[in-house]
Amino acid sequence: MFKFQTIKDFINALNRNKKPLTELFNKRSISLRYDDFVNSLEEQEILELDKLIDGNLINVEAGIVSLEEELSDFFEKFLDVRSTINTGMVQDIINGIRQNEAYYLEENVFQKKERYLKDIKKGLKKIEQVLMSQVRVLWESMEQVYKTETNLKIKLSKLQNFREKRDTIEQLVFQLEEIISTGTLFNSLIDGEFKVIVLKVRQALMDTKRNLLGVQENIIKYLAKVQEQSAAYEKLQRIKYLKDQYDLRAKSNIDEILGNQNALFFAGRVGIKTRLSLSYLQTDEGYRAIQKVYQKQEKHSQTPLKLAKPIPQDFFELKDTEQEIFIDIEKLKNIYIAQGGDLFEFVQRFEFDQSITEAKRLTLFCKLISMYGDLLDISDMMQSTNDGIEYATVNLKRL
Amino acid sequence: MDNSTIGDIFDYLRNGHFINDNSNREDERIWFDYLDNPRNFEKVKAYFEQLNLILEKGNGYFYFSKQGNIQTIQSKIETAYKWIDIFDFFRTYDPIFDSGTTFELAKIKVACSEKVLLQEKLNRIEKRKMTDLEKIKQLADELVNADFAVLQPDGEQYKVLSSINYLDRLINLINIQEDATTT
Repeated sequence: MFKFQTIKDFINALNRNKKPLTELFNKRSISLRYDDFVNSLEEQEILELDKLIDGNLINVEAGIVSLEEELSDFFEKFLDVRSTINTGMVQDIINGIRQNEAYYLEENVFQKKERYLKDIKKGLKKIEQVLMSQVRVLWESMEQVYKTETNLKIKLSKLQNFREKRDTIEQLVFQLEEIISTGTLFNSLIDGEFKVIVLKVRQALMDTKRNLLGVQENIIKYLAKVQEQSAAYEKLQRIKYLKDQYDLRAKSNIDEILGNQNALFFAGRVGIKTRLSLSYLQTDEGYRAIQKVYQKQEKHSQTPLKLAKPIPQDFFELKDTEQEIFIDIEKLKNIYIAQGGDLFEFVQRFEFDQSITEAKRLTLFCKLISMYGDLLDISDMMQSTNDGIEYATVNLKRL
Repeated sequence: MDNSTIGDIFDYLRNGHFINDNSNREDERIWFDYLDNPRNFEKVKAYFEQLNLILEKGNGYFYFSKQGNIQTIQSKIETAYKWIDIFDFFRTYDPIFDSGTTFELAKIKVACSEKVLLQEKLNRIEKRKMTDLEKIKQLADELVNADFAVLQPDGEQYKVLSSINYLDRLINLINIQEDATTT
Protein backbone atom coordinates (compact mmCIF):
# COMPACT_ATOMS: atom_id res chain seq x y z
CA MET A 1 0.00 0.00 0.00
CA PHE A 2 1.21 3.44 -0.93
CA LYS A 3 1.57 5.95 1.89
CA PHE A 4 1.95 9.70 1.70
CA GLN A 5 5.22 10.76 3.28
CA THR A 6 4.30 14.32 4.19
CA ILE A 7 1.15 16.39 4.60
CA LYS A 8 2.37 18.40 1.61
CA ASP A 9 2.35 15.28 -0.61
CA PHE A 10 -1.15 14.44 0.59
CA ILE A 11 -2.53 17.94 -0.09
CA ASN A 12 -0.80 18.03 -3.47
CA ALA A 13 -2.36 14.67 -4.38
CA LEU A 14 -5.79 16.02 -3.42
CA ASN A 15 -5.17 19.14 -5.49
CA ARG A 16 -3.92 17.24 -8.54
CA ASN A 17 -6.98 15.01 -8.48
CA LYS A 18 -9.56 17.54 -7.46
CA LYS A 19 -11.76 16.79 -10.48
CA PRO A 20 -12.19 13.00 -9.97
CA LEU A 21 -12.41 13.44 -6.18
CA THR A 22 -15.11 16.10 -6.52
CA GLU A 23 -16.97 13.89 -8.95
CA LEU A 24 -16.88 10.98 -6.50
CA PHE A 25 -17.95 13.17 -3.59
CA ASN A 26 -20.89 14.58 -5.55
CA LYS A 27 -21.99 11.07 -6.49
CA ARG A 28 -21.39 9.51 -3.07
CA SER A 29 -25.05 8.60 -2.61
CA ILE A 30 -25.29 6.52 -5.81
CA SER A 31 -23.51 3.35 -6.97
CA LEU A 32 -21.05 4.59 -9.57
CA ARG A 33 -19.66 1.94 -11.93
CA TYR A 34 -15.87 1.94 -12.15
CA ASP A 35 -15.92 1.67 -15.97
CA ASP A 36 -18.28 4.64 -16.34
CA PHE A 37 -16.13 6.64 -13.97
CA VAL A 38 -12.90 5.85 -15.84
CA ASN A 39 -14.53 6.79 -19.15
CA SER A 40 -15.31 10.23 -17.78
CA LEU A 41 -11.65 10.93 -16.90
CA GLU A 42 -8.77 12.49 -18.84
CA GLU A 43 -5.74 10.36 -19.70
CA GLN A 44 -3.58 11.96 -17.00
CA GLU A 45 -6.28 11.43 -14.37
CA ILE A 46 -6.56 7.73 -15.25
CA LEU A 47 -2.79 7.37 -14.63
CA GLU A 48 -3.21 8.92 -11.18
CA LEU A 49 -6.21 6.76 -10.35
CA ASP A 50 -4.19 3.67 -9.37
CA LYS A 51 -2.17 5.77 -6.97
CA LEU A 52 -5.35 7.06 -5.32
CA ILE A 53 -6.73 3.52 -5.03
CA ASP A 54 -3.38 2.29 -3.65
CA GLY A 55 -3.29 5.19 -1.23
CA ASN A 56 -6.75 4.27 0.08
CA LEU A 57 -8.37 7.51 -1.01
CA ILE A 58 -10.62 5.69 -3.45
CA ASN A 59 -12.30 2.31 -3.03
CA VAL A 60 -13.19 -0.12 -5.79
CA GLU A 61 -15.42 -3.02 -4.80
CA ALA A 62 -17.38 -5.30 -7.10
CA GLY A 63 -17.00 -2.88 -10.00
CA ILE A 64 -18.32 0.06 -7.96
CA VAL A 65 -16.06 3.01 -7.24
CA SER A 66 -16.45 5.31 -4.23
CA LEU A 67 -14.60 7.82 -2.16
CA GLU A 68 -12.94 6.38 0.96
CA GLU A 69 -15.47 6.76 3.80
CA GLU A 70 -13.12 8.72 6.07
CA LEU A 71 -12.34 11.19 3.31
CA SER A 72 -16.01 11.52 2.47
CA ASP A 73 -16.84 12.17 6.16
CA PHE A 74 -14.04 14.71 6.30
CA PHE A 75 -15.42 16.62 3.31
CA GLU A 76 -18.96 16.40 4.62
CA LYS A 77 -17.91 17.73 7.98
CA PHE A 78 -16.08 20.78 6.62
CA LEU A 79 -18.66 21.53 3.97
CA ASP A 80 -21.43 21.04 6.54
CA VAL A 81 -23.26 18.71 4.17
CA ARG A 82 -23.50 15.62 6.34
CA SER A 83 -25.79 13.05 4.88
CA THR A 84 -25.87 10.64 7.80
CA ILE A 85 -27.28 11.00 11.27
CA ASN A 86 -24.66 10.33 13.90
CA THR A 87 -26.09 10.76 17.37
CA GLY A 88 -23.09 8.98 18.89
CA MET A 89 -20.88 11.86 17.75
CA VAL A 90 -23.15 14.38 19.52
CA GLN A 91 -23.12 12.27 22.65
CA ASP A 92 -19.28 12.17 22.55
CA ILE A 93 -19.09 15.98 22.38
CA ILE A 94 -21.50 16.34 25.32
CA ASN A 95 -19.50 13.81 27.34
CA GLY A 96 -16.33 15.77 26.51
CA ILE A 97 -17.89 19.02 27.77
CA ARG A 98 -19.01 17.28 30.99
CA GLN A 99 -15.55 15.81 31.65
CA ASN A 100 -13.71 19.03 30.90
CA GLU A 101 -16.08 20.90 33.23
CA ALA A 102 -15.25 18.44 36.02
CA TYR A 103 -11.49 18.75 35.35
CA TYR A 104 -11.78 22.53 35.24
CA LEU A 105 -13.47 22.67 38.63
CA GLU A 106 -10.98 20.24 40.15
CA GLU A 107 -7.84 21.79 38.68
CA ASN A 108 -5.96 24.47 40.59
CA VAL A 109 -3.20 25.28 38.13
CA PHE A 110 -4.35 28.32 36.15
CA GLN A 111 -2.81 27.35 32.77
CA LYS A 112 -4.34 23.89 32.96
CA LYS A 113 -7.71 25.34 33.97
CA GLU A 114 -7.55 27.63 30.92
CA ARG A 115 -6.85 24.67 28.64
CA TYR A 116 -9.94 22.84 29.94
CA LEU A 117 -12.01 25.98 29.48
CA LYS A 118 -10.73 26.29 25.92
CA ASP A 119 -11.77 22.69 25.24
CA ILE A 120 -15.22 23.34 26.71
CA LYS A 121 -15.63 26.38 24.44
CA LYS A 122 -14.48 24.32 21.47
CA GLY A 123 -16.99 21.57 22.36
CA LEU A 124 -19.82 24.06 22.70
CA LYS A 125 -19.03 25.67 19.34
CA LYS A 126 -18.94 22.27 17.72
CA ILE A 127 -22.23 21.17 19.20
CA GLU A 128 -23.89 24.37 18.05
CA GLN A 129 -22.98 23.48 14.44
CA VAL A 130 -23.52 19.74 14.70
CA LEU A 131 -26.96 19.79 16.31
CA MET A 132 -28.65 21.80 13.60
CA SER A 133 -26.92 19.92 10.79
CA GLN A 134 -28.11 16.63 12.33
CA VAL A 135 -31.67 17.89 12.43
CA ARG A 136 -31.36 19.06 8.82
CA VAL A 137 -30.14 15.62 7.73
CA LEU A 138 -33.03 14.07 9.65
CA TRP A 139 -35.54 16.30 7.83
CA GLU A 140 -34.03 15.58 4.42
CA SER A 141 -33.70 11.81 4.95
CA MET A 142 -37.25 11.58 6.23
CA GLU A 143 -38.68 13.54 3.28
CA GLN A 144 -36.65 11.54 0.79
CA VAL A 145 -37.70 8.18 2.21
CA TYR A 146 -41.33 9.25 2.31
CA LYS A 147 -41.27 10.45 -1.29
CA THR A 148 -39.09 7.85 -2.95
CA GLU A 149 -39.24 4.55 -1.07
CA THR A 150 -41.77 2.37 -2.88
CA ASN A 151 -41.65 -0.67 -0.61
CA LEU A 152 -44.23 0.08 2.06
CA LYS A 153 -42.73 -2.22 4.71
CA ILE A 154 -39.24 -0.77 4.30
CA LYS A 155 -40.69 2.70 4.24
CA LEU A 156 -42.55 2.11 7.49
CA SER A 157 -39.45 0.65 9.10
CA LYS A 158 -37.22 3.54 7.97
CA LEU A 159 -39.69 6.14 9.22
CA GLN A 160 -39.87 4.37 12.59
CA ASN A 161 -36.07 4.40 12.68
CA PHE A 162 -36.07 8.15 12.04
CA ARG A 163 -38.51 8.58 14.90
CA GLU A 164 -36.08 6.80 17.23
CA LYS A 165 -33.19 8.97 16.00
CA ARG A 166 -35.31 12.05 16.54
CA ASP A 167 -36.07 10.95 20.12
CA THR A 168 -32.35 10.36 20.73
CA ILE A 169 -31.45 13.84 19.49
CA GLU A 170 -34.17 15.24 21.78
CA GLN A 171 -32.61 13.40 24.74
CA LEU A 172 -29.22 14.90 23.86
CA VAL A 173 -30.77 18.36 23.74
CA PHE A 174 -32.21 17.80 27.24
CA GLN A 175 -28.80 16.67 28.52
CA LEU A 176 -27.13 19.76 27.12
CA GLU A 177 -29.83 22.04 28.51
CA GLU A 178 -29.29 20.51 31.92
CA ILE A 179 -25.54 21.06 31.75
CA ILE A 180 -25.96 24.69 30.73
CA SER A 181 -28.65 25.53 33.28
CA THR A 182 -27.37 23.57 36.30
CA GLY A 183 -23.63 23.13 35.72
CA THR A 184 -21.50 24.93 38.31
CA LEU A 185 -19.17 26.33 35.70
CA PHE A 186 -22.00 27.75 33.61
CA ASN A 187 -23.45 29.54 36.60
CA SER A 188 -20.26 30.92 38.01
CA LEU A 189 -17.84 31.75 35.24
CA ILE A 190 -17.68 35.32 34.15
CA ASP A 191 -16.04 35.38 30.76
CA GLY A 192 -17.43 37.52 27.94
CA GLU A 193 -16.52 35.09 25.18
CA PHE A 194 -17.87 32.12 27.12
CA LYS A 195 -21.16 33.94 27.72
CA VAL A 196 -21.55 34.66 23.98
CA ILE A 197 -20.85 31.01 23.12
CA VAL A 198 -23.37 29.76 25.70
CA LEU A 199 -25.94 32.22 24.36
CA LYS A 200 -25.44 30.87 20.86
CA VAL A 201 -25.75 27.30 22.11
CA ARG A 202 -28.99 28.20 23.91
CA GLN A 203 -30.30 29.68 20.66
CA ALA A 204 -29.24 26.54 18.73
CA LEU A 205 -30.99 24.38 21.35
CA MET A 206 -34.19 26.35 20.93
CA ASP A 207 -34.01 26.07 17.13
CA THR A 208 -33.27 22.36 17.40
CA LYS A 209 -36.23 21.78 19.72
CA ARG A 210 -38.54 23.69 17.41
CA ASN A 211 -37.34 21.67 14.42
CA LEU A 212 -37.60 18.41 16.32
CA LEU A 213 -41.25 19.20 16.98
CA GLY A 214 -41.77 19.70 13.25
CA VAL A 215 -39.98 16.43 12.51
CA GLN A 216 -42.17 14.64 15.04
CA GLU A 217 -45.31 16.12 13.54
CA ASN A 218 -44.30 15.02 10.03
CA ILE A 219 -43.20 11.56 11.09
CA ILE A 220 -46.57 10.96 12.76
CA LYS A 221 -48.34 12.27 9.65
CA TYR A 222 -46.17 10.19 7.31
CA LEU A 223 -46.49 7.03 9.39
CA ALA A 224 -50.28 7.41 9.41
CA LYS A 225 -50.27 8.01 5.66
CA VAL A 226 -48.05 4.99 4.99
CA GLN A 227 -50.26 2.80 7.17
CA GLU A 228 -53.27 4.11 5.27
CA GLN A 229 -51.55 3.42 1.93
CA SER A 230 -50.55 0.00 3.12
CA ALA A 231 -54.14 -0.80 4.15
CA ALA A 232 -55.49 0.55 0.82
CA TYR A 233 -52.96 -1.52 -1.10
CA GLU A 234 -53.85 -4.69 0.79
CA LYS A 235 -57.56 -4.10 0.35
CA LEU A 236 -57.17 -3.57 -3.40
CA GLN A 237 -55.22 -6.82 -3.60
CA ARG A 238 -57.97 -8.70 -1.76
CA ILE A 239 -60.66 -7.21 -3.98
CA LYS A 240 -58.68 -8.06 -7.09
CA TYR A 241 -58.17 -11.61 -5.84
CA LEU A 242 -61.89 -12.13 -5.17
CA LYS A 243 -62.74 -10.60 -8.55
CA ASP A 244 -60.39 -13.00 -10.33
CA GLN A 245 -61.98 -15.89 -8.40
CA TYR A 246 -65.47 -14.70 -9.51
CA ASP A 247 -66.30 -14.32 -5.81
CA LEU A 248 -66.40 -10.57 -5.40
CA ARG A 249 -70.12 -10.11 -5.97
CA ALA A 250 -70.99 -12.94 -3.58
CA LYS A 251 -68.53 -12.03 -0.86
CA SER A 252 -68.77 -8.24 -0.83
CA ASN A 253 -71.32 -5.48 -1.01
CA ILE A 254 -70.07 -4.29 -4.42
CA ASP A 255 -73.55 -4.57 -5.99
CA GLU A 256 -75.00 -2.34 -3.31
CA ILE A 257 -72.13 0.18 -3.56
CA LEU A 258 -72.29 0.39 -7.34
CA GLY A 259 -76.08 0.55 -7.21
CA ASN A 260 -75.71 3.84 -5.37
CA GLN A 261 -72.95 5.17 -7.63
CA ASN A 262 -74.34 7.36 -10.34
CA ALA A 263 -71.22 9.26 -11.31
CA LEU A 264 -70.96 10.03 -15.01
CA PHE A 265 -67.70 8.09 -14.81
CA PHE A 266 -69.90 5.00 -15.14
CA ALA A 267 -72.28 6.43 -17.71
CA GLY A 268 -69.96 8.07 -20.17
CA ARG A 269 -71.65 11.36 -20.96
CA VAL A 270 -74.87 13.28 -20.86
CA GLY A 271 -76.01 13.91 -24.41
CA ILE A 272 -78.18 16.90 -25.28
CA LYS A 273 -80.61 16.90 -28.22
CA THR A 274 -81.93 20.27 -29.30
CA ARG A 275 -84.28 21.52 -32.04
CA LEU A 276 -83.60 24.53 -34.22
CA SER A 277 -84.91 27.75 -32.79
CA LEU A 278 -87.39 29.19 -35.30
CA SER A 279 -87.22 32.66 -33.79
CA TYR A 280 -83.41 32.57 -34.15
CA LEU A 281 -83.73 31.65 -37.82
CA GLN A 282 -85.91 34.74 -38.35
CA THR A 283 -83.15 37.06 -37.10
CA ASP A 284 -80.44 38.56 -39.33
CA GLU A 285 -77.88 36.31 -37.71
CA GLY A 286 -80.09 33.29 -38.31
CA TYR A 287 -80.47 34.33 -41.98
CA ARG A 288 -76.70 34.52 -42.34
CA ALA A 289 -76.40 31.09 -40.76
CA ILE A 290 -78.93 29.68 -43.28
CA GLN A 291 -76.96 31.27 -46.15
CA LYS A 292 -73.77 29.74 -44.84
CA VAL A 293 -75.31 26.27 -44.63
CA TYR A 294 -76.81 26.70 -48.14
CA GLN A 295 -73.46 27.71 -49.60
CA LYS A 296 -71.81 24.78 -47.94
CA GLN A 297 -74.38 22.39 -49.37
CA GLU A 298 -74.10 23.96 -52.81
CA LYS A 299 -70.38 23.59 -52.73
CA HIS A 300 -70.79 19.99 -51.68
CA SER A 301 -73.31 19.19 -54.47
CA GLN A 302 -71.09 20.85 -57.09
CA THR A 303 -68.19 18.66 -56.34
CA PRO A 304 -67.71 16.61 -59.52
CA LEU A 305 -68.13 12.94 -58.93
CA LYS A 306 -65.15 10.86 -59.66
CA LEU A 307 -66.03 8.72 -62.67
CA ALA A 308 -64.56 5.39 -63.47
CA LYS A 309 -63.18 4.71 -66.97
CA PRO A 310 -65.71 3.39 -69.53
CA ILE A 311 -66.07 -0.37 -69.57
CA PRO A 312 -64.39 -1.73 -72.72
CA GLN A 313 -66.73 -3.16 -75.38
CA ASP A 314 -65.06 -6.54 -75.50
CA PHE A 315 -66.06 -7.04 -71.87
CA PHE A 316 -69.64 -7.61 -73.05
CA GLU A 317 -68.73 -10.01 -75.85
CA LEU A 318 -69.09 -13.57 -74.72
CA LYS A 319 -66.18 -15.75 -75.47
CA ASP A 320 -66.72 -19.26 -76.79
CA THR A 321 -65.89 -20.92 -73.55
CA GLU A 322 -68.27 -18.73 -71.67
CA GLN A 323 -71.32 -19.33 -73.88
CA GLU A 324 -74.36 -20.43 -72.04
CA ILE A 325 -75.41 -23.87 -73.14
CA PHE A 326 -78.76 -25.18 -72.08
CA ILE A 327 -79.24 -28.91 -72.08
CA ASP A 328 -82.47 -30.51 -71.01
CA ILE A 329 -81.32 -33.31 -68.69
CA GLU A 330 -84.80 -34.78 -68.37
CA LYS A 331 -85.03 -35.12 -72.16
CA LEU A 332 -81.56 -36.64 -72.34
CA LYS A 333 -82.54 -39.22 -69.68
CA ASN A 334 -85.67 -40.20 -71.59
CA ILE A 335 -83.69 -40.72 -74.80
CA TYR A 336 -81.21 -42.88 -72.88
CA ILE A 337 -83.98 -44.96 -71.30
CA ALA A 338 -85.34 -45.54 -74.77
CA GLN A 339 -81.92 -46.52 -76.16
CA GLY A 340 -80.23 -48.18 -73.16
CA GLY A 341 -76.62 -49.41 -73.29
CA ASP A 342 -73.45 -47.99 -71.75
CA LEU A 343 -74.29 -44.55 -70.32
CA PHE A 344 -70.76 -43.19 -70.83
CA GLU A 345 -70.77 -44.24 -74.45
CA PHE A 346 -74.26 -42.76 -74.86
CA VAL A 347 -73.23 -39.34 -73.53
CA GLN A 348 -70.02 -39.34 -75.57
CA ARG A 349 -71.81 -40.07 -78.83
CA PHE A 350 -74.99 -38.09 -78.35
CA GLU A 351 -75.35 -35.34 -80.88
CA PHE A 352 -76.35 -32.15 -79.15
CA ASP A 353 -77.77 -29.07 -80.92
CA GLN A 354 -74.59 -27.14 -80.17
CA SER A 355 -71.11 -28.49 -80.01
CA ILE A 356 -70.05 -29.09 -76.43
CA THR A 357 -66.70 -29.79 -74.85
CA GLU A 358 -65.41 -33.10 -73.52
CA ALA A 359 -65.48 -31.73 -70.02
CA LYS A 360 -69.12 -30.76 -70.37
CA ARG A 361 -69.94 -34.31 -71.59
CA LEU A 362 -68.21 -35.73 -68.51
CA THR A 363 -70.22 -33.38 -66.28
CA LEU A 364 -73.43 -34.55 -67.93
CA PHE A 365 -72.43 -38.19 -67.36
CA CYS A 366 -71.93 -37.51 -63.63
CA LYS A 367 -75.09 -35.40 -63.43
CA LEU A 368 -77.23 -38.22 -64.93
CA ILE A 369 -75.81 -40.71 -62.41
CA SER A 370 -76.43 -38.45 -59.45
CA MET A 371 -79.95 -37.46 -60.52
CA TYR A 372 -81.23 -40.78 -61.78
CA GLY A 373 -79.10 -43.23 -59.85
CA ASP A 374 -82.11 -45.43 -58.96
CA LEU A 375 -82.74 -46.14 -62.68
CA LEU A 376 -79.12 -47.08 -63.30
CA ASP A 377 -76.98 -50.09 -62.61
CA ILE A 378 -73.53 -48.86 -61.52
CA SER A 379 -71.05 -51.71 -61.64
CA ASP A 380 -67.58 -52.04 -60.05
CA MET A 381 -66.06 -52.59 -63.47
CA MET A 382 -63.87 -49.67 -64.47
CA GLN A 383 -63.13 -48.63 -68.06
CA SER A 384 -60.83 -45.98 -69.44
CA THR A 385 -60.77 -43.76 -72.51
CA ASN A 386 -57.82 -43.04 -74.73
CA ASP A 387 -57.41 -39.74 -72.87
CA GLY A 388 -56.84 -41.67 -69.64
CA ILE A 389 -60.23 -40.89 -68.08
CA GLU A 390 -61.36 -43.77 -65.89
CA TYR A 391 -65.06 -44.34 -65.36
CA ALA A 392 -67.37 -46.95 -63.88
CA THR A 393 -69.50 -48.96 -66.32
CA VAL A 394 -73.09 -47.76 -66.01
CA ASN A 395 -76.06 -49.44 -67.68
CA LEU A 396 -79.80 -49.09 -67.52
CA LYS A 397 -81.25 -51.14 -64.69
CA ARG A 398 -83.24 -54.11 -65.86
CA LEU A 399 -86.71 -54.05 -64.52
CA MET B 1 -67.15 33.98 -12.91
CA ASP B 2 -69.54 34.53 -15.80
CA ASN B 3 -72.22 32.25 -17.18
CA SER B 4 -70.09 31.18 -20.15
CA THR B 5 -67.51 29.73 -17.73
CA ILE B 6 -70.23 27.81 -15.91
CA GLY B 7 -71.26 26.63 -19.38
CA ASP B 8 -67.68 25.47 -20.00
CA ILE B 9 -67.65 23.66 -16.65
CA PHE B 10 -70.94 22.01 -17.57
CA ASP B 11 -69.66 20.94 -20.99
CA TYR B 12 -66.51 19.51 -19.45
CA LEU B 13 -68.17 17.61 -16.62
CA ARG B 14 -71.09 16.29 -18.68
CA ASN B 15 -68.61 14.30 -20.76
CA GLY B 16 -67.73 12.28 -17.68
CA HIS B 17 -64.56 14.28 -16.93
CA PHE B 18 -63.19 15.22 -13.52
CA ILE B 19 -62.03 18.74 -12.62
CA ASN B 20 -58.70 18.28 -10.81
CA ASP B 21 -56.75 20.63 -8.58
CA ASN B 22 -53.45 19.33 -10.02
CA SER B 23 -54.41 19.31 -13.68
CA ASN B 24 -51.92 20.64 -16.24
CA ARG B 25 -54.75 22.66 -17.84
CA GLU B 26 -54.86 26.17 -16.50
CA ASP B 27 -58.60 26.64 -17.13
CA GLU B 28 -59.32 23.43 -15.22
CA ARG B 29 -57.35 24.67 -12.20
CA ILE B 30 -59.22 28.00 -12.35
CA TRP B 31 -62.54 26.10 -12.40
CA PHE B 32 -61.34 24.03 -9.44
CA ASP B 33 -60.41 27.09 -7.40
CA TYR B 34 -63.75 28.64 -8.20
CA LEU B 35 -65.74 25.55 -7.20
CA ASP B 36 -63.55 25.02 -4.14
CA ASN B 37 -65.04 28.14 -2.60
CA PRO B 38 -68.04 26.78 -0.57
CA ARG B 39 -70.26 29.70 -1.54
CA ASN B 40 -69.62 29.22 -5.27
CA PHE B 41 -69.94 25.48 -4.92
CA GLU B 42 -73.41 25.70 -3.36
CA LYS B 43 -74.53 28.20 -5.98
CA VAL B 44 -73.31 26.15 -8.97
CA LYS B 45 -74.53 22.89 -7.40
CA ALA B 46 -78.06 24.33 -7.03
CA TYR B 47 -77.88 25.54 -10.63
CA PHE B 48 -76.95 22.11 -12.01
CA GLU B 49 -79.51 20.37 -9.81
CA GLN B 50 -82.22 21.92 -11.95
CA LEU B 51 -80.73 19.90 -14.82
CA ASN B 52 -80.93 16.71 -12.78
CA LEU B 53 -77.14 16.67 -12.37
CA ILE B 54 -75.37 16.59 -9.02
CA LEU B 55 -72.06 18.38 -8.69
CA GLU B 56 -69.99 16.22 -6.35
CA LYS B 57 -66.83 17.16 -4.48
CA GLY B 58 -64.00 14.73 -3.73
CA ASN B 59 -60.53 15.13 -2.28
CA GLY B 60 -59.01 17.46 -4.88
CA TYR B 61 -61.59 16.89 -7.63
CA PHE B 62 -65.17 17.58 -8.76
CA TYR B 63 -67.45 15.48 -10.94
CA PHE B 64 -71.04 15.05 -12.03
CA SER B 65 -73.38 12.33 -10.98
CA LYS B 66 -76.96 11.92 -12.13
CA GLN B 67 -80.11 11.63 -10.11
CA GLY B 68 -81.60 8.19 -10.47
CA ASN B 69 -80.02 5.05 -11.84
CA ILE B 70 -78.01 5.66 -14.98
CA GLN B 71 -76.75 2.21 -15.87
CA THR B 72 -77.58 -1.39 -15.22
CA ILE B 73 -75.70 -2.98 -12.36
CA GLN B 74 -74.05 -5.34 -14.85
CA SER B 75 -72.65 -2.46 -16.85
CA LYS B 76 -71.34 -0.77 -13.68
CA ILE B 77 -69.75 -4.05 -12.54
CA GLU B 78 -67.96 -4.34 -15.89
CA THR B 79 -66.62 -0.78 -15.59
CA ALA B 80 -65.59 -1.33 -11.97
CA TYR B 81 -63.83 -4.63 -12.81
CA LYS B 82 -61.88 -3.03 -15.61
CA TRP B 83 -60.63 -0.33 -13.24
CA ILE B 84 -59.85 -2.78 -10.45
CA ASP B 85 -57.49 -4.53 -12.91
CA ILE B 86 -55.82 -1.34 -14.09
CA PHE B 87 -55.55 0.19 -10.62
CA ASP B 88 -54.17 -3.06 -9.23
CA PHE B 89 -51.54 -3.17 -11.98
CA PHE B 90 -50.24 0.33 -11.26
CA ARG B 91 -50.40 -0.21 -7.47
CA THR B 92 -48.43 -3.42 -7.84
CA TYR B 93 -45.82 -1.40 -9.71
CA ASP B 94 -45.91 1.37 -7.10
CA PRO B 95 -47.95 0.76 -3.91
CA ILE B 96 -48.05 4.53 -3.39
CA PHE B 97 -49.61 5.15 -6.78
CA ASP B 98 -51.45 8.23 -5.58
CA SER B 99 -52.32 11.79 -6.52
CA GLY B 100 -49.12 13.53 -7.61
CA THR B 101 -47.21 10.30 -8.27
CA THR B 102 -45.29 10.35 -11.53
CA PHE B 103 -44.46 7.35 -13.70
CA GLU B 104 -42.73 6.51 -16.96
CA LEU B 105 -43.66 3.71 -19.34
CA ALA B 106 -40.04 2.61 -19.84
CA LYS B 107 -39.51 2.25 -16.07
CA ILE B 108 -42.67 0.17 -15.71
CA LYS B 109 -41.43 -2.03 -18.56
CA VAL B 110 -38.16 -2.62 -16.70
CA ALA B 111 -40.13 -3.41 -13.52
CA CYS B 112 -42.20 -5.95 -15.50
CA SER B 113 -39.07 -7.79 -16.52
CA GLU B 114 -37.88 -7.82 -12.91
CA LYS B 115 -41.21 -8.68 -11.27
CA VAL B 116 -42.96 -11.78 -12.60
CA LEU B 117 -46.19 -10.85 -10.82
CA LEU B 118 -46.34 -7.52 -12.63
CA GLN B 119 -45.67 -9.16 -15.98
CA GLU B 120 -48.43 -11.71 -15.33
CA LYS B 121 -50.89 -8.98 -14.45
CA LEU B 122 -50.01 -7.07 -17.60
CA ASN B 123 -50.52 -10.14 -19.77
CA ARG B 124 -53.86 -10.88 -18.13
CA ILE B 125 -55.22 -7.38 -18.62
CA GLU B 126 -54.00 -6.89 -22.15
CA LYS B 127 -54.22 -10.14 -24.08
CA ARG B 128 -53.74 -8.64 -27.54
CA LYS B 129 -50.52 -9.41 -29.36
CA MET B 130 -48.34 -6.37 -28.82
CA THR B 131 -45.09 -5.45 -27.10
CA ASP B 132 -45.02 -4.89 -23.33
CA LEU B 133 -44.38 -1.20 -23.88
CA GLU B 134 -47.45 -0.95 -26.12
CA LYS B 135 -49.53 -2.78 -23.52
CA ILE B 136 -48.39 -0.44 -20.75
CA LYS B 137 -49.06 2.52 -23.04
CA GLN B 138 -52.63 1.23 -23.54
CA LEU B 139 -53.16 1.20 -19.78
CA ALA B 140 -51.62 4.65 -19.37
CA ASP B 141 -53.90 5.92 -22.14
CA GLU B 142 -56.88 4.52 -20.26
CA LEU B 143 -55.81 6.50 -17.20
CA VAL B 144 -55.40 9.66 -19.28
CA ASN B 145 -58.72 9.23 -21.10
CA ALA B 146 -60.53 8.78 -17.79
CA ASP B 147 -58.80 11.87 -16.31
CA PHE B 148 -56.90 9.86 -13.70
CA ALA B 149 -53.52 10.89 -15.13
CA VAL B 150 -52.00 13.36 -17.51
CA LEU B 151 -48.99 13.19 -19.82
CA GLN B 152 -46.46 15.81 -18.83
CA PRO B 153 -45.13 18.32 -21.41
CA ASP B 154 -41.87 16.33 -21.74
CA GLY B 155 -43.94 13.59 -23.42
CA GLU B 156 -42.43 10.85 -21.25
CA GLN B 157 -43.60 11.31 -17.71
CA TYR B 158 -47.19 10.85 -16.58
CA LYS B 159 -48.64 12.50 -13.48
CA VAL B 160 -51.44 10.96 -11.45
CA LEU B 161 -54.31 13.38 -10.85
CA SER B 162 -56.37 13.88 -7.70
CA SER B 163 -59.35 12.11 -9.27
CA ILE B 164 -57.53 8.83 -8.55
CA ASN B 165 -58.94 9.38 -5.04
CA TYR B 166 -62.34 8.58 -6.54
CA LEU B 167 -61.14 5.02 -7.27
CA ASP B 168 -59.58 4.81 -3.83
CA ARG B 169 -62.83 5.88 -2.22
CA LEU B 170 -64.77 3.35 -4.27
CA ILE B 171 -62.42 0.56 -3.20
CA ASN B 172 -62.67 1.76 0.38
CA LEU B 173 -66.48 1.63 0.29
CA ILE B 174 -66.50 -2.04 -0.70
CA ASN B 175 -66.81 -4.25 2.35
CA ILE B 176 -65.51 -7.77 2.11
CA GLN B 177 -67.06 -10.51 4.23
CA GLU B 178 -64.89 -11.49 7.17
CA ASP B 179 -64.62 -15.13 6.09
CA ALA B 180 -63.71 -14.32 2.46
CA THR B 181 -60.52 -16.10 1.43
CA THR B 182 -57.52 -13.86 1.20
CA THR B 183 -54.46 -14.11 -0.97
